Amino acid sequence: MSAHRPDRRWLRGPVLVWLALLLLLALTTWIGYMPLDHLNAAINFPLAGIMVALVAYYLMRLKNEVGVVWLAALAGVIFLFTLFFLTFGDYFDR
Amino acid sequence: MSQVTITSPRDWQEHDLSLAARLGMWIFLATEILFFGGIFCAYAVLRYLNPVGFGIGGHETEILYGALNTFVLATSAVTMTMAAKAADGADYRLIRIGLIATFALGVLFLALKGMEYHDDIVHHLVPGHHFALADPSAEMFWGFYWVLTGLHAIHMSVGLVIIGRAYWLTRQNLKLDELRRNLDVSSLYWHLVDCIWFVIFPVIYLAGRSG
Repeated sequence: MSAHRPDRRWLRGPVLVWLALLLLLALTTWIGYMPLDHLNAAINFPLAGIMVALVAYYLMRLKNEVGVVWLAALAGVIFLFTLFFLTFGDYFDR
Repeated sequence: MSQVTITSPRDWQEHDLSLAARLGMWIFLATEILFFGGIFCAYAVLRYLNPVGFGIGGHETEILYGALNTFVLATSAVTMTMAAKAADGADYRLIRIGLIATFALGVLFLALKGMEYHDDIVHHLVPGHHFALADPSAEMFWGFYWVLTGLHAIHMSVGLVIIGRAYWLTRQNLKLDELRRNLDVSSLYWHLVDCIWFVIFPVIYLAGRSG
């Protein structure tokens, strides 16, 4: 009788996310050195957002979560955007 | 007349316990997002008001340490997922390998951070009387550097304790459901610490690189 061997084909998903994270890290670093004036930060922060979204959706398994967990996860992000929106709404107006 | 029965969590089914644990952790993570978010917001305002000084300050950070540590944490995110997902298939060997790898990568991160802090201190990059840069807003930038990376390192240390506890649990005679619930919640915390670093990297290490 052969020993039970666990099915590990699911590992392909996390490894693909890892490769995507490394690619984004390389891209972010490269853009950081490009002479783009103030555009460097404007491009790099959304790239950091994509890295966070990849981790949250696939590795933190939001993909499979129910609505109430999504609500808790999004609450922090929505209130954070509100904080930035109100703060910069004031500073850009001055 | 219908009767409502309130049950104790001891009587809950595994599905409810698992959902409650994940929901509770996500609510906690939302408070963490706002905790770091307030500091990021203050940083963004002051960088917007002092772009030159923040660029001068950012240029003095050690990009190699920052990029290496981002690589280390991106890798640890995958090893942690390995451990948590392996519990779905009762693959105890992979759970332990994932937890040991995650712990080792966390220690490596802190070791690199310690070496970086040593270099920063030697180069007088701690705000105060002997600060190396003349621009006051560069000093402000370095204040953010120490606060953000220091708070992150504290979270990372807590994460190591959580991973250590998760490994210890794999050696106990726990039911698989209970172990899986613990691993799910532990991995959520670890991933948040990774995510915060993914934002710290461009904010701190890439400021002022292009100019």
